[in-house]
Amino acid sequence: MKSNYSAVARVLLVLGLTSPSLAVSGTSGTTAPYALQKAANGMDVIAIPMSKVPLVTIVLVSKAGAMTETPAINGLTHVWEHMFFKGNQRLPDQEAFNKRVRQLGIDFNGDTSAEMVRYFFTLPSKNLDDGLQFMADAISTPLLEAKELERERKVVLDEYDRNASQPGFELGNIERMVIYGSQEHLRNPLGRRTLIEKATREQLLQIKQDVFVPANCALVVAGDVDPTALKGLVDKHFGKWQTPATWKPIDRGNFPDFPKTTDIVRTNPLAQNVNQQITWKGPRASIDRKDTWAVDVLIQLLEHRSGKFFKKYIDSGMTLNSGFTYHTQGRAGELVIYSMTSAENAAKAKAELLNEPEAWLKPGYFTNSQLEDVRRRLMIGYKMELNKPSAFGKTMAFWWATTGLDYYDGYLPGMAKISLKDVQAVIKKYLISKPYVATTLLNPKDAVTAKMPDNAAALSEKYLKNY
Amino acid sequence: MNLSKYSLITCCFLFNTMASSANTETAADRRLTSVSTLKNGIPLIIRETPGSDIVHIELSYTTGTSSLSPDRRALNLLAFETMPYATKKYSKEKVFALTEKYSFGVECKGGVEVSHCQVETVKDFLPQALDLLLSVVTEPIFNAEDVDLSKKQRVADFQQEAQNPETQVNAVVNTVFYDASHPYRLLPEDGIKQTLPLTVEDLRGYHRTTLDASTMYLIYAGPKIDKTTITKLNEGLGKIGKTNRTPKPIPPPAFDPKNSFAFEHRAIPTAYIRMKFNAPSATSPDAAAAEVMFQILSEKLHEEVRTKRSLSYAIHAGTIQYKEGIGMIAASTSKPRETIETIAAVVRDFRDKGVSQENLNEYRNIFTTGYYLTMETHDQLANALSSSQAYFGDATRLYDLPARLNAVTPADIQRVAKETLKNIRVGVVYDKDKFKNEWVQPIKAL
Repeated sequence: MKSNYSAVARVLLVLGLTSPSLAVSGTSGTTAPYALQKAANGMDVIAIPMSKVPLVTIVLVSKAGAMTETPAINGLTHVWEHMFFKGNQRLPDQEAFNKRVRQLGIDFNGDTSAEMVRYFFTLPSKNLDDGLQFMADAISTPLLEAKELERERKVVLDEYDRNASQPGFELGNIERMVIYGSQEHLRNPLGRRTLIEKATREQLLQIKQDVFVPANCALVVAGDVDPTALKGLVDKHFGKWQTPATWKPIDRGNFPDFPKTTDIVRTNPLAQNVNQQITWKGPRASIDRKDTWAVDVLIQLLEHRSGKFFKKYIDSGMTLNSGFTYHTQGRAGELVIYSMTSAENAAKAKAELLNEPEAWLKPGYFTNSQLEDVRRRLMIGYKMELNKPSAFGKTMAFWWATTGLDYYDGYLPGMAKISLKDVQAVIKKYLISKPYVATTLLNPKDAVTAKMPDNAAALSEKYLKNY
Repeated sequence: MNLSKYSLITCCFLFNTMASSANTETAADRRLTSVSTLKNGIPLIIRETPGSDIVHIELSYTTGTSSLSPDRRALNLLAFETMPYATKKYSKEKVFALTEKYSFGVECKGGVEVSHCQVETVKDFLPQALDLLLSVVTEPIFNAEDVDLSKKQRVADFQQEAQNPETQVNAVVNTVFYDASHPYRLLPEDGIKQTLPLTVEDLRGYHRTTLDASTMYLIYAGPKIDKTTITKLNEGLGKIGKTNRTPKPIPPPAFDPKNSFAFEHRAIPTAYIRMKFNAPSATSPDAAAAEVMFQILSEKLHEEVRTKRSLSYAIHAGTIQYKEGIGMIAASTSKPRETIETIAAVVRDFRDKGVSQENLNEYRNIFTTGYYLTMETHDQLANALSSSQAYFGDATRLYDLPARLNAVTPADIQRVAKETLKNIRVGVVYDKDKFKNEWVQPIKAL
């Protein structure tokens, strides 16, 4: 058995604040040592002891989601996620499952994204043993019965329709297809409605074999837990769940090159404010690790309220909200400038925002003092994150699945070493003179005011006709 | 990394009712809580959180949109949101510099009955955070350009509410749940109309009315409080005068059977349905029974509507306990007729049959988890204490919740269900070509 304690305890020292008067004293609540162990069946087991309340949160996470799907099964990992709750060999149907939830006092949910599927239960720590058995039964012996699939299919379709009821749904689909072309399904965990309507039990069983195996999963237990006792409990309950000898991780290949610059305007009568995005290809955490840290620092610098970006776009009222965002993912990366404006300011804001990356390179746009503030904010933000064990367990599951825990261990020390030069380097590498995809969502009346006519009819016809 | 832009597709639509609990040891919580007053009588509730150097300080005001006339309610929202922009002591530039340097933010938020100004920081930066909080509360300046910006952002928030069918259906049902003058009614469209003409003087005048020690109380959640902090609180807030303002009574929303259904057309693929009805208030002797009743009703609806009949992804019931209580059932569905029929059948069955003692015992475990989740973070803990203080004048009553919930019997639940689950008002947002108004008849018949 391998057992490691995270380097995070050292991280806060590395973050070393240059001004002694601004150092944050005390270490209680500032470190989250986790114990990484290997269960007998090969699954990673991560214990995060934080005994502030007598609860534990159990997270089962799999490196699965849209990225492990083919076009023919796009959205079916999400359907599988739903079926997890529909009965297993010990609890034959969802009624029995729900009864057990009540008996153990479980607050539960699950989620599916492009690069991970998580199931999470929070329950009184005295019920940890039973909670682990409950999780083990659900993940290792789901019945996936055809009649239950028929029932749950309708529920998933209603979930799909809720997404489709939002004014930005169509534009989001078009944008993803423009960016990722033939591989767009790998970034679409919700999937295609027509495929959900036809999903079969056999397809779900195949997904189980492909991605819901111990070698592709981790169990995170955060809260009132004893790491030394955990492994025995995990082996007791998960021991029969084995990875087939022939199993291999799925690799669906690379994404096509980022498309040439494309500008899409879509009108929808339900849209109230003007929402715009400019998306560039960004770093992938699996390959461009240091770049992801620099990008995260850039985001924080742009949020700095004494900074030029905040003054120009938010404090001036030019936009009602705007900023820069990046979602850390292992396989893909998107850098996005977003804004919400009135119709009157939409065109001006867009033109100015397109020029922003050039401005970010000018001397004095960002300062070392702001960088120091950003580092301090990261450390305090980390403390606040640790203050909620039920959420922190889920966060650790995210890191394990999308980037690996070594990325997490290196994250804060890495961020602490990022300089303004590093930030400028990523701006040049990913944004300057690089192609982008711009989208604007607004209502028809605002489109007239903003002089931004809908130009998405052809793209809609091309991509969504048979969607 | 930023997760906000990227939605995760979740298994289950969750709705959390108010903090609930069961058989829970609360003596330790009581030992960690003390109550004193500032020199002008403002209660100071101190909850120690051993082992953590995070500090959360919250000043609550027992005033909100419901305290204002029907045409002025948005004033409360705008005034509180604008207060942290700049103060006599701290110009906007200084506010920005200070909050960025020490990484905290003072946030003020207007509520329906209780409004707040709060800050969360680490102990080392408490002096700076507290000084700014006190300045924001006592001497905001409401610069014209800041008010203008805040107005634009407030209007945009109302517009976003109206854009999302999930929030818009709440506004739709409110048109038949509240009459036009009811203190709890503030539709997004009314909010926009009220916000646009507000002036700097409106905000300054309203702020002066909030400086009333008889409506204020403080919650401190953090490590052992030091004398300096108490001295600062007294210096900052201890001179605020008291009025003997008598809060206006809140009338229960009146039921008009001829006006109990509202519909808004949107060409969307799933119907958003929301039902509202009168329920026990925060101070009602039936408040605990109502909480349990709604938790069980929510589970029963989930089981019948989602698990057995697959009619909806999101179906839930819950209650909001203000001075008047509000009961709510919400669903999204592409089969509204069947969903409404099933909801009506579940409600009728629940009223008729109630719940067994065995079933009730199972739910108690869920309450235990919910109670401890409330205790997990400083802000959640402070908010829960604040709610108890607002409605009972005793924050520590929060810790009685486990005992009160444990005392609830199956007979209590059935009685409250019978008294509550009636006179239901319904709002729907959906495609008019796919919906018939008579489909709500089973609910009207309850």
